[in-house]
Amino acid sequence: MIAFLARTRHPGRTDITDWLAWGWATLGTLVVAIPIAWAVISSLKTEAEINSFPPALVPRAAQTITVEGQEKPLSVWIRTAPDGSEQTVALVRRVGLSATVLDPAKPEETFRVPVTELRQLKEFHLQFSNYTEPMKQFDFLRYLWNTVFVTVVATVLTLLLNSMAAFALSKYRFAGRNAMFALILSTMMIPLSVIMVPAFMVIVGLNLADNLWGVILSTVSTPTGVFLLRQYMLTIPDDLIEAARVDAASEFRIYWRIVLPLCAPALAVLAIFSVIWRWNDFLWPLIVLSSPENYTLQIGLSSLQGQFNVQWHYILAMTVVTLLPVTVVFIFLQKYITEGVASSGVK
Amino acid sequence: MSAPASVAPPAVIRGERLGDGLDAAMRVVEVPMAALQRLLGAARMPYVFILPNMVLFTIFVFVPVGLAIAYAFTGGTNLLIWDRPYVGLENFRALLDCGSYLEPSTCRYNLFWTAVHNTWWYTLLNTLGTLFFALVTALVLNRLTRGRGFFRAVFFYPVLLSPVVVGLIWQWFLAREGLLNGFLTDWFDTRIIFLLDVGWSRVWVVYVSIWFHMGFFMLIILAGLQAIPRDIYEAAEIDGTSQWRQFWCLTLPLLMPNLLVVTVLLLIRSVQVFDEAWVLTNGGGPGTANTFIVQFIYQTAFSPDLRLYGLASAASVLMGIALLALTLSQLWLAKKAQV
Amino acid sequence: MTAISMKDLRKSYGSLEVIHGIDIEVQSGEFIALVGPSGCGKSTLLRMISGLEPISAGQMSFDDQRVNELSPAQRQIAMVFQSYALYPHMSVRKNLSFGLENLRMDKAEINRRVDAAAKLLAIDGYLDRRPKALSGGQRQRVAIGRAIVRQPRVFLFDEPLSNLDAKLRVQTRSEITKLHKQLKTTMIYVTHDQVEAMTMAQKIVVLNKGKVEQIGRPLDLFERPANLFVAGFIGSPRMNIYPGKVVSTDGDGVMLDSPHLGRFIVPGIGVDVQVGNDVAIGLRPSHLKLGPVTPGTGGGTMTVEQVESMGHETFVYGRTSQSDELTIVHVPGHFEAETGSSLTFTFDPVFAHLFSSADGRSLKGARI
Ligand SMILES: Nc1ncnc2c1ncn2[C@@H]1O[C@H](COP(=O)(O)OP(=O)(O)O)[C@@H](O)[C@H]1O
Ligand SMILES: [Mg+2]
Repeated sequence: MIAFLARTRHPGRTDITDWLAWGWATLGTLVVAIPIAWAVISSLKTEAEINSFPPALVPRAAQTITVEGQEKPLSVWIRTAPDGSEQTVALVRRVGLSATVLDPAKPEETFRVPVTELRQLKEFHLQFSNYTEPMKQFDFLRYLWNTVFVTVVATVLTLLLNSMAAFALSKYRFAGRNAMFALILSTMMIPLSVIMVPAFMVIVGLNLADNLWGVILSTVSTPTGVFLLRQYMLTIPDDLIEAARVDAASEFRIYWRIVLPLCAPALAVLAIFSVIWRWNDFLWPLIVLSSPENYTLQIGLSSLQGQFNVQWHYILAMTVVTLLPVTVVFIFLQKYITEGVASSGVK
Repeated sequence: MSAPASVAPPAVIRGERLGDGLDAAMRVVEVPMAALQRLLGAARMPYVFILPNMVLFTIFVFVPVGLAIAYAFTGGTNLLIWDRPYVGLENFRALLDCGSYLEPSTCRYNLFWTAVHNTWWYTLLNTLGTLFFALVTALVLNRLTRGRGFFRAVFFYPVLLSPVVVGLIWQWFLAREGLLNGFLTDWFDTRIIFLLDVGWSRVWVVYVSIWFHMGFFMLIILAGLQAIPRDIYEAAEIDGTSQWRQFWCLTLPLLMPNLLVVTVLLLIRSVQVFDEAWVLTNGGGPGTANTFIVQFIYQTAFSPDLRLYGLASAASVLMGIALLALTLSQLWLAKKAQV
Repeated sequence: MTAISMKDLRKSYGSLEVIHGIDIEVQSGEFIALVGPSGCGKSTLLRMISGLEPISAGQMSFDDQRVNELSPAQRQIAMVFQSYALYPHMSVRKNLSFGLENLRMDKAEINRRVDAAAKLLAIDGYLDRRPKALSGGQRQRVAIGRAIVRQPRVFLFDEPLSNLDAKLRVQTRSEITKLHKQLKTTMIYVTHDQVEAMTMAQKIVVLNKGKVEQIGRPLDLFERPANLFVAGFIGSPRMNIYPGKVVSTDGDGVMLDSPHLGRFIVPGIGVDVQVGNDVAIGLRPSHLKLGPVTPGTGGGTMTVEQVESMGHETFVYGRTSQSDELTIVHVPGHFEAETGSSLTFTFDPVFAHLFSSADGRSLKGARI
């Protein structure tokens, strides 16, 4: 097994650098995985468990038992008597250092023991209500819907508008073509952080402040998308377009029925990136959106953290919800994404 | 046509029927577009195709760039440009009014200079750190013959997460009750409140940034490594060159153009640090230990009690100039790398 | 059935003119071929006819109606591209029907036409396939089918056979000719292969450097090339060309002297030649015979460089003394000769073509 894993560039020769390489890669994997795994595990813990220290490595909850004559379920403890014998008891109440317990087998008899003799019994437990509660309590369902709306609409518009521009830039000769292409590329050099103040003013001027369309419209035109699609369209033979023109197709029909279907691979790459960009957007929605019913997941999540009483069990569960779609997309489309990044340098 | 009706049509045809269905729906757009083509002539259609994109770019990029510059020369707290008084260079003068640029407390806007200092240190450490880890990881992955795809995916995965998610995950990891403190208690019997300590919090902000973005730069370096022809190494091997020398005398020089581009890209990104640091440190804390330039701009413009749009724009313009210089040097390097 | 008339057509890309004033009349229902070497502007001219390329100057009319400003669809032409340009994401059936759907034709009529064209071209077996799943010959037929279903006024072909192998090329050649006989539609066929033009077309236009060199029936071009360019371009293997000088002229003919062919008299009317003029003498390989020079014939000696025997006929390639150009002799039947050996050849001066050395113009009238 080790020999198989350690196979290197020189079969049959494993030197120290190969082991170092494997060590680095494995260690790196742990560094990446542990914080994420920890957040996922923690998101399934009860509120009591999440605030207890030192933390437990698996989600657990106190074991409880329903006993006749008691209204509520009681927690289960192990009592170690001074003589060393062990006994399972149910805790009725606790006052200072002494506790009132009972033997579940004889529920009528309660007796008092010092708390030092007690050890709580915990069992494996996944607190799924962490996921369902915030949906009701904090309107996360609304945030989720807003995010999905922004992501889907913005991605569809990005694909449509960018491909139309790319079509014009790659398949026509017209006055000003190169200037327009240069202008579009130049917007890569202008990050949001530089123009956020006036961009917000424009949004206010368009009456789109605190409106999801304000978030969507300003992100729809991407220089990366136009560039990516243009490069791809350049590989489509001009003959096909002329054949369609001879076939009496209008220019728009050529775009819609010939060019767009043939661009499917490039459109897929752009769609993946657009979904991830829009899903993760933070600064711009933070500026544009102000009322909670318009929040996206990212904004909702960060606002939850800013609240006075930080409820980590909810925050973590919603964090997991937020990273889940991106993770699923990545697992299935890993190859396209890494190759897309490596070949075009977009992110 | 000759096939019996019971046989399902092949996938090609089924796909086409779907296309025809969509086609009928698209008539709504197609008919007016065809009418437009008759009106304008086919030669003008490319302008129609590129128009929506250009309109959006104009509204959301070109106009704001012009406005940013205009705002920088106005004062007051009104948002609309025509309500704002012209103040000339006052905003720039205010930002640059300093006893000593090395000592933020001597400046009129000491928060700006604190942010500049913080950004400067962050940029330095983040660039060096990311470069180092990305390079080593790329070299390691390039060496592996098995599992390269898996590890590449693992290291790249954090890049796709949102800054908010990354900030929260690490805040939880580093929390007072977090896993790291759990280990510290176990092994050293001590606990550190990392994010409330000025020194530690800065270290972790840089560390989290590296953790977050390293995979992206690793991928670019890896692509550069894989573009180096194999036979060079084989020739060196035959000459008996040691692996260490191969790295210093072959890999590094051949990778240099790629690394330079990555470095400038890193600088550009680092100067704009905001999202994940803001979430991780709960808004730049403790105090102003992790307040960066973008946060300064954001707060100066959008805090309800400030709303100093002119001052924020002036800071944007200054940052924009720095970024432009970096971008132009990147384009220049990229061009040189291609030759 | 459409007649096409081109009057002083010009095309410029910026300041570069590539088509320099072309006049061609195409009769209704005619099959006309545009031939010329690669880069001479054949495709450009065809695309100007199609409407894909704007016309810089001059007039193009279909049946006496000016069409310069009309789009390809409005001109109702159909075109078969060199690359076939089949839509790769559509089935064969869709490839055929796409153009008709663009015209919003009735569905039943579309199906009727597609099925008829498919049957005609024997592609009805794979209407549901994508072009990728077809062989080169099948793709070619689909491309032709796509043109047929439109029932256009004019068919345009741009080197449609150049991507096929030799055998298929010959076969498709005759199929296209047959198709023309059936449909009787005007066809304009671009090719750089003069054999294709000669075997298929009713009329050939020879183009060179954006100008028309000669227009005529295939046999006319072969027998009465208007100039040195057409003489060299039409006929395979190409015509042998030798330099010579006019020694004397009289009523019977012109006496020529060539360092390669000796002295001989070309009978017939001497056109425009004066004693002392430099001329180019053209002789087809089939008009050269191996054998000794006899009085009344011209002839020369060549050193054999290569012999290509096909069994039923043989081509002997050789060089006359101090010549740069190969001399090619056609010999019926099988023939063998040593490389390096000397052979004498003769010809009947009646068959000699004469061209002006100054401008390449033919100096001779009708002659067999
Ligand atoms: N778009 C263009 N811009 C400039 N020159 C062109 C263009 N298209 C063709 N040409 C030139 O026009 C001439 C004729 O080309 P073409 O018609 O394609 O020749 P062919 O006879 O081989 O089909 C060539 O010299 C070519 O370089
Ligand atoms: Mg051509």
